Amino acid sequence: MSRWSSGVAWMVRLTLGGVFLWAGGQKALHPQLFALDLEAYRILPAELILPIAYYVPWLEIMTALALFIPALRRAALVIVIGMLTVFTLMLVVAWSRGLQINCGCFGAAGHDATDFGFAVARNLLLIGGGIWLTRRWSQPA
Amino acid sequence: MKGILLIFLAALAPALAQRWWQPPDAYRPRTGVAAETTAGERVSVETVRAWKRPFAWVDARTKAEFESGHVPEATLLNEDTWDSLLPEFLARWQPGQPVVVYCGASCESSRRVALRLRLAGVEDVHVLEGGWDAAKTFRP
Repeated sequence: MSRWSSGVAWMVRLTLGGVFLWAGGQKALHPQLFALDLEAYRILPAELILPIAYYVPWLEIMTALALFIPALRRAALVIVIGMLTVFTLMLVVAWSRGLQINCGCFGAAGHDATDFGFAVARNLLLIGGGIWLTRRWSQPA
Repeated sequence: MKGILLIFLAALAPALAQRWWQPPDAYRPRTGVAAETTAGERVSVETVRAWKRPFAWVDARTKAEFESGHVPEATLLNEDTWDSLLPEFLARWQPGQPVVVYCGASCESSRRVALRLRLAGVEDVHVLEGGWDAAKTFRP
C-alpha cells in the first residue's frame, strides 16, 4: 500500500469516527429532544421512540471508538455503513413526504428544517468512504 | 460477527444507565395512549379558554413573526435565542403557573420549546393545537 493511500485511509477513518462521535455525543446530551426528532419522521411506532432515543447515541459513540481498536475496526465499519444506510433511507422517506423537519442527525445541535438533498449527499459520501475502507482493510497488507 | 455483537452490547450499558439517571420525564409522546390522556401535552383553544386559573403564553415562532403579531401577554421564546430569552421568561413566570406554547400551524418547534421548558423546571407546559392560527382566535 502506498503512503498516500494509508494517509487517505486514516483521514476516512478519522472523518467517520469524528462524525459519529460528534453526532452521538450531541444526541446523548438530550435524548428527549432526539426523541422528538425521531417522532417527526412519523415512521417509528411510539413504543420504540424512547428506547431508540436512549440507545442509538451510545451505539454511535461506541462504534466511533471501536473504529480505532484494531480487533474491532472491521465490525465497527459494518455498523457505521449499516447505520448510515438506515439514516439515509429515513431521510429519503421524509424528503419524499415533503416533511419540513430537522433530521436530528446531530441531536440538539440543530433545530432548523433540514436540507434533505445536502444531508443525503453527505451520508452517501460517508457510506462511500466506509465501503472504500472496508475493501482496503480486506486486502492483505 | 462477535465484534458487532460486542459493540452493540457495549452501547447498552451507558444507554441503560442514562435512562435510569435521566428518566424521560419531560417527554410527552405525540401518539399512543399517553398522548390521549392527561399525560398528553396538547390543548385546544377551547380548553384554554375554559381555564379559570392564570396561565402564561409562549410564542415559539421567529422574532419577525412575533413582531408582526402575537397573543397579548405572550413571551417570545424560541430555540434560536433560547439562552438569552429563557431568563426573561422565567422572571415573568409565576411558579406553578401553566404555560401554553404555540408556533406556526404545522411546525415542530412548540413541542421542542415545551420539552426544553420542562427540562428547565417548568412542569405544567402545554402545546396549543392549531398553533398560531388557533392562538389568534383566542379571546379570554
